[in-house]
Amino acid sequence: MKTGILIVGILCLVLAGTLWILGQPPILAVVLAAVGAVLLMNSKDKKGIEATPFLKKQAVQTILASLLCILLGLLIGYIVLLIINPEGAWKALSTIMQNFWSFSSERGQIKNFGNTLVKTIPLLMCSLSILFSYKVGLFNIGAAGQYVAGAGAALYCAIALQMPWWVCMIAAALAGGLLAAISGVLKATRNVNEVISGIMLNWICLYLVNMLLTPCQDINMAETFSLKKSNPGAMIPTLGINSLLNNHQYVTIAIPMAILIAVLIWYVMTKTKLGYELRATGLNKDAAKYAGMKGHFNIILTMTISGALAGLGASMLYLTDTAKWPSAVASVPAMGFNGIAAAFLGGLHPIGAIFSSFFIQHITDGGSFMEKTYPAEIASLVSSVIIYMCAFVLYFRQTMTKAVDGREERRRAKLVSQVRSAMHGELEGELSGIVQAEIEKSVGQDPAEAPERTADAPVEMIPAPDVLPKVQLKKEDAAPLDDLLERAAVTWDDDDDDGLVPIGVEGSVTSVQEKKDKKEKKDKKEKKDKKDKKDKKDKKGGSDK
Amino acid sequence: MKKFVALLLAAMMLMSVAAFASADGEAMRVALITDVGTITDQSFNQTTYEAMVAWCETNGVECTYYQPASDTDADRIAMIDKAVDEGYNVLLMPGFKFGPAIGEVQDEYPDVKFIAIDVGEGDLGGAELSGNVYCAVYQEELCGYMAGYAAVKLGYKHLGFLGGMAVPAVVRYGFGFVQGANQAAVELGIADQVTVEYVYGNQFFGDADITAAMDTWYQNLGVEVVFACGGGIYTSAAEAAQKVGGKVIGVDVDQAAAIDGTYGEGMTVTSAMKGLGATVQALLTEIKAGNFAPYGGKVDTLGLVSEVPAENYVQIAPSTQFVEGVFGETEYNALVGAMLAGDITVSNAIDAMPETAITVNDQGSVK
Amino acid sequence: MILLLQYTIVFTSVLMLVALGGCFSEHSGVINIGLEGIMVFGALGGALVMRYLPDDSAGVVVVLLCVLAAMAAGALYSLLLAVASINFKADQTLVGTAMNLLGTAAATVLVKALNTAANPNNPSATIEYDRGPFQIVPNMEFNWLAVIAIAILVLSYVILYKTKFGLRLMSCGEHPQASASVGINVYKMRYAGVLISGLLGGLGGLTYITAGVGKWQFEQGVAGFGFLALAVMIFGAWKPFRIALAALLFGFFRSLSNVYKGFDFLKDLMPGAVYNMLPYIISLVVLIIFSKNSAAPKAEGIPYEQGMR
Repeated sequence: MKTGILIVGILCLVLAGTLWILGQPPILAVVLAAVGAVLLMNSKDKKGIEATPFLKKQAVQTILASLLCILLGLLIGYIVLLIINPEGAWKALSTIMQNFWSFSSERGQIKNFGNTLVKTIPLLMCSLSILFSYKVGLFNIGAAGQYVAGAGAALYCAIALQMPWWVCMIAAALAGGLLAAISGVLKATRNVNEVISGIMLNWICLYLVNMLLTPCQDINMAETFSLKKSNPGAMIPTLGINSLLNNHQYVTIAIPMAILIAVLIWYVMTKTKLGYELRATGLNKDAAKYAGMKGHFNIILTMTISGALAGLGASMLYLTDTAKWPSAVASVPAMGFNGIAAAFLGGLHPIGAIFSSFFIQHITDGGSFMEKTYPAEIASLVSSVIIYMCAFVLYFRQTMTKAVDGREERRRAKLVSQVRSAMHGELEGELSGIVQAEIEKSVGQDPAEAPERTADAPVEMIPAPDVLPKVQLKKEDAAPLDDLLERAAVTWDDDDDDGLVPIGVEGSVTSVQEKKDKKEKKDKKEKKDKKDKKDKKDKKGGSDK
Repeated sequence: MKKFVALLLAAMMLMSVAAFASADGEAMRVALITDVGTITDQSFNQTTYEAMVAWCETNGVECTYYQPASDTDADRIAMIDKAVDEGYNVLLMPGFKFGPAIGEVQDEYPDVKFIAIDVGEGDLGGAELSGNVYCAVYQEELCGYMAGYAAVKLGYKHLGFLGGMAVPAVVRYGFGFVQGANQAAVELGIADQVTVEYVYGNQFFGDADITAAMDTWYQNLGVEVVFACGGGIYTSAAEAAQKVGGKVIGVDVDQAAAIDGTYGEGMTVTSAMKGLGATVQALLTEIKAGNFAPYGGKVDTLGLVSEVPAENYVQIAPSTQFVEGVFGETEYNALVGAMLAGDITVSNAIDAMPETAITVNDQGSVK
Repeated sequence: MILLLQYTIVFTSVLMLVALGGCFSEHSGVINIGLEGIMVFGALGGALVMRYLPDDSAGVVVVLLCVLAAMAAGALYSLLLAVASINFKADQTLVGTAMNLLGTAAATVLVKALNTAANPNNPSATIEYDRGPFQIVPNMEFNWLAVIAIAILVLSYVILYKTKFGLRLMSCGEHPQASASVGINVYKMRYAGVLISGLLGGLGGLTYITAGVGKWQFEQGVAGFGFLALAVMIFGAWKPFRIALAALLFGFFRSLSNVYKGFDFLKDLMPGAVYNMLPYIISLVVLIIFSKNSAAPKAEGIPYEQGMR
């Protein structure tokens, strides 16, 4: 383990916890926790040749790029505010940014922080749903409909069937999962594009839920009955968590539950066989099929899990009695679509989704506190600009990679030319070759992310092949090379998610692993054949005898 | 000497108390909190906002509005918190959705005056009102009744009701409309010839779908006049009416000028109005004069208070297409008198369509 | 019956226009989810022109100018998608989603600012306009824009399948590297595809708001019609005439759900909610039967890099 980074990471988390308990502004604690988590995740040391420079690390790049997106979005929002009315522009922008901090009393701050948290949870679950299916190459635009299905199931079980809260939550997850499974089955068996089946099912589900919840409607309020009055047992328990937030009435165990689920999703996707298979199916459906993974089953399973996440998210909002289902909803709630935005802002990483959902909800709520000289829609303008900027994340990351690689190339070139100029005569050729190998070992060029040779980077570094002596690599040097070869083929390591869109990547790849497997199989078959032949001969021989 | 000092001190105390009682010590600042809609919803939010702005401009009082981030009690309370935090001490809250919120905030901010409109006993959920809250609910069923009565008396036999959403106020309008039409039909002896089509659009704005439904009513079903009761949804009804020379009944305010101006003269038969703006302005004036005490803690049901129709909280528009002898001003005055005296009762129950002798086709909702 | 016909044409033309736009974009290799945002901006452009034109302008002039304004507004907005996905290799689904969110918000802010500037007491996001010039027959919903839509349908088919430009456009979506090797400028082609989708989407937006009402509240966006058009495009397997058929199917059932009460035999057949669901259920059923061989343009969604293999 890179102990240094590990220690710093743990320190950050501890500091964040202390700040939280001391009641200091939570944002600081959250940011520190984020930094700590990232550092922890990256503290596992890789073997020499694979060590990537700090700025080329996936996580760092994504975070920096996301931050850049946010800054640019806020800047553009500020410019729009200036155009409309220069006087209050800065105050308005700072209100959006501050959200609950803009209250003068601490009570008000904590209360509204709680409000934002409570509304973050369904957004987080929807974004998890979207990113889970996106990693498998499916765009689950039906998340909105699955959300509706979950809400309908949860409220029906709570009010009409008077079930306890955990039954309602399970029902919500099942309802969402079932709806998504329909999309999945259609996609897997009939090749129906999941986008269109999702959209159709969104609307069908909306009308069905409206019909379903009609007996649960309180006509005086034109919405479903308040759970507090009709079935308190259906409300998600708080278990004392809300005492952290001045007994906020809507803060429940749903919050830590959702965060746990996010971590669980991360774990499943990166550390389990199932996650590996799902991502493989997403990167290249055909290759995965040839490797023996069940494509159809994986697609259906993924959609079901996505749907269950979205449905569960709905239950986490409606079962806290925060929101109620109005008596007639004419259009699909926007939560499902905002989930898409949150998923991408978080870099399509479950842990990132936690922070991005919170951020999006933060500025949405901040926008509602804004001075009314500006239209209330400014907040959604700012957040949609931020999300638009997120699309440029790949570009930012490529630029960062280019910058870092350019620096590396220049550094290497300088080193090599320095060494070469220091040597003269017959030593030059031999030494430069060995130095070259040494440099390659320590700097570690990842051939899968080979930089483009731009005009400004000097190319003259590697001596001509006939000058290079044969460098005899010792056995212990061969290991890194094997690694290199293996990784030169297909890499499904989670860190290597360099933004390749999983849909439609062409070409068939056979990895070294597959070749080994094939060879093993062949060997086994040969052995078996030999054995059979031998048995036959024996038998024959035996019968002859 | 001692007596004189004592008298002086007492006088000073009295004066300070009096000063405290007559003015709150701080300037009046008014804020409107919408229930979830915008201030341009062409319905009660907009009416309240316009009334507030007009009053504040005449009286030089600072005012603003807040719109909750989402349709939840938590967010409405958050907006109330924010308004109080920013120093606003008179809060206008239009909409029945504020019912649950009032119970929570009234005791938290005893110095802030809350004026909740369209919030009735049922919405409050059984909470006792504190002295700094005033609730007012309108008897929309009465003006709906008047509109339906007028329509049938004026000779229209096939009526329609297009509600925005099935919220209590709209339902009261609609059920009152049906009852009024029924009464007039029974009086004229044509109960078997009068039909009312009844539907909700589930939105407060018009679009192609609603216009299509209205076209069906006017062109295929033969509806003659539609009571468009839902903010901007009247645009669809008016568009459809324009094609066949049909009629429309407005709501909340006198919409004759707006509708006739855009769609054609004489399209608006009448409008069922409720004095939302007037109530708001009257109350603000009272608060400014320091006279809120008689209103605090009350839930007023505002309906008919006088024989003179124009003085009532619920009425039909002065621009109604009166026809003397059939249904003119005299007949209208008589109707109001009868309702005030209790000879005519209008049910304000919203759980089921009232029983009628005329045919009422409940078509559910368009969307 | 006439009503059914009128509204079928109305909904069909809206869906068809926007779906054809999306079709052009996807054929060139750029996924365009942002159709909803493009529709809003096109509607905004057209509505503003309608509002600010002098009242006595000739009908033809009004129609022409509004159509051009809507197309221009839509195309300008689609530049957001073009620049992001073609020059900056952005993720196209994300850009589309952002454009949808941004479209409604930006249009609302713009209209509110304009309205408040004209009249400080009017902070609404509504624009009123006169639909008169658009109606072929007064008092009926037969719209000139529907005629334009049919013309565009035929034009699209001809352009896509019978001209060099169209065939090259499609090749950029199937295999851009091969096209580049033949000398086609893939970047330019993709720009063309996205801009055309902006043109058509903007016109679709204008058609949507002029269908039925003379006053549009821009806070409502286009009430989900952009996604429906996306569905129609996929339903029509990216082929113009199949898209037209899909739009027709959808438009028919959608208008039926609004006017069925005028037909006696339909009034009591099914509850109203089922009529509302009917377009979606039937589309789903048809999809299940006919999707087996449908295939999106192969290289759509993948940012094109010159020199990539």
